[in-house]
Amino acid sequence: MKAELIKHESGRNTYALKGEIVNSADFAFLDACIEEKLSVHLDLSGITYINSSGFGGLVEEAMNFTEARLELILSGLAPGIRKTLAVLGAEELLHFKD
Amino acid sequence: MSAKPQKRRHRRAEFLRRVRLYLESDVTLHGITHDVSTHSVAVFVNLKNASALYGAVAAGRAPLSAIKGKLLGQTALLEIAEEGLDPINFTIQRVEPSWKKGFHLFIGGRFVNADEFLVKKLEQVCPALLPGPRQREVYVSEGLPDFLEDLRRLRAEEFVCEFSNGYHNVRDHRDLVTALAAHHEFPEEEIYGIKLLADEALMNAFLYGSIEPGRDRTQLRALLAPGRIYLAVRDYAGIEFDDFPYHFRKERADQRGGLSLLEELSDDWQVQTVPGEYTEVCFFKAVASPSSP
Repeated sequence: MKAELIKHESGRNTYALKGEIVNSADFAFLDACIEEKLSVHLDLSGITYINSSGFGGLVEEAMNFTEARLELILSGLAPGIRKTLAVLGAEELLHFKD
Repeated sequence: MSAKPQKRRHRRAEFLRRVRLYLESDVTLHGITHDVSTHSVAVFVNLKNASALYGAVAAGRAPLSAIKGKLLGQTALLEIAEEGLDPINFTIQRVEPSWKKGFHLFIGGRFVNADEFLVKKLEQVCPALLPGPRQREVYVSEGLPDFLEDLRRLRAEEFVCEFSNGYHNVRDHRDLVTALAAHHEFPEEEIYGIKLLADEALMNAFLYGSIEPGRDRTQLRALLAPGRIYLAVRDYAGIEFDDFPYHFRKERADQRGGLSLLEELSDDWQVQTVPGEYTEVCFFKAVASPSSP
C-alpha cells in the first residue's frame, strides 16, 4: 500500500491510499498524526483490496483516533469492497464520509 | 442447487488452568491456558496489570500490536497454577493482539525441551493428553461430506498445487483461486468474498506454517463446479488453531477477525490439526448460477 499526503490544513491531513491493504502495520504513518493532534481523512478510492488483517488495522487506528479525541474519516472505498467488509462490522466500526 | 447446509460444530475438550508467564524482560503476565499439549501451549493473558513495560499500552497510548514484535521468539517460563509442575520453558511463536477489547493477548508456543519426563508430568495434569500425533478437529462442519458428494456428482474440476511459503505466493494463489471462481460462474458480487476467504486460509498457512526450514510448504486443493467451490489449504507446521473456551469465544465474537470472516462469507468451514504435522483450513461455498442443475 502507498500513502500520499495530498492536503494539509489546520488540524487535518488528507492522504490518498493506493494498492492493497493487507497488513495492520501499513498504518504506522498515522501514529505521527495522533502525536501531532491531527485528524485524518483517508481517500481509499485507489484501494483495490483489503483483507481481514488490513481491516483490523483500520479499526485499531479508528479506535486510537477516537481515544485521542481526533477523527479518522474514510471515503472513496469501492462499493464491492465496502459491501463485503460490512459483514465484519465496517459500517459500525469505521467512519465513512460518503 | 442444494439447500445451504446447517452449521453445527463440536468443540474440543477444554483444559482450563490459571497460568503465570515469566518473560525475559522480568515481566510477569497472568492469564489462563485452555490448551496444553505434550509439545505446545496456548495461553490467553491479560495485560491490564502488567508492569511499566506495557504501561503505554494499558493507558491506551500505543496499539497492542506494538509489543508483538518484542514477544515473538522470546523464551518464556510457564507456570501452571495448582498443578505442582516446575515452570516450563517455551518459545513464543504466535502472538495475537485483541485489537478491539484492548488488553488481552493470545500467546502460542512450543516447549523447548519436551522430554519424556515433561510429557509424563503433563499427562498427569491433563489425562486427556495422548502421546504421539493425534488429529484434533477444532471446528467440524457437518455439512462438508454432503457438499463434497455434491461436487463429485457434478464431476468437479480439481486443482492441487504445493508451493513454498512466502507472501508473494499467498497473493498469487489468492488471485488464482479468484480467477478459478470467476471461471466457474461465481457472480461478480461474490468474487470479492471468495478472494477474502482464500486469502484468509492462505495467510493462516503463511503466518503459522513456516516454523522450520524445509517444512515451509503449503498445499492448496480446490474443487470447483459451476457456482460451487471447496478450498483446502494445508501447512506442515501443525501449530494448533486457537480455540477459545466458550466465555472467551463469546467475548471475542464481536472482534471481526479472520474466523468471523470465514463464518460470515462461507457456507461453512473447518479446521483440522495433527500437532507437529499439519493444519488444514478449508471452506466451501455455493451460489445460484445459470447452469446449476
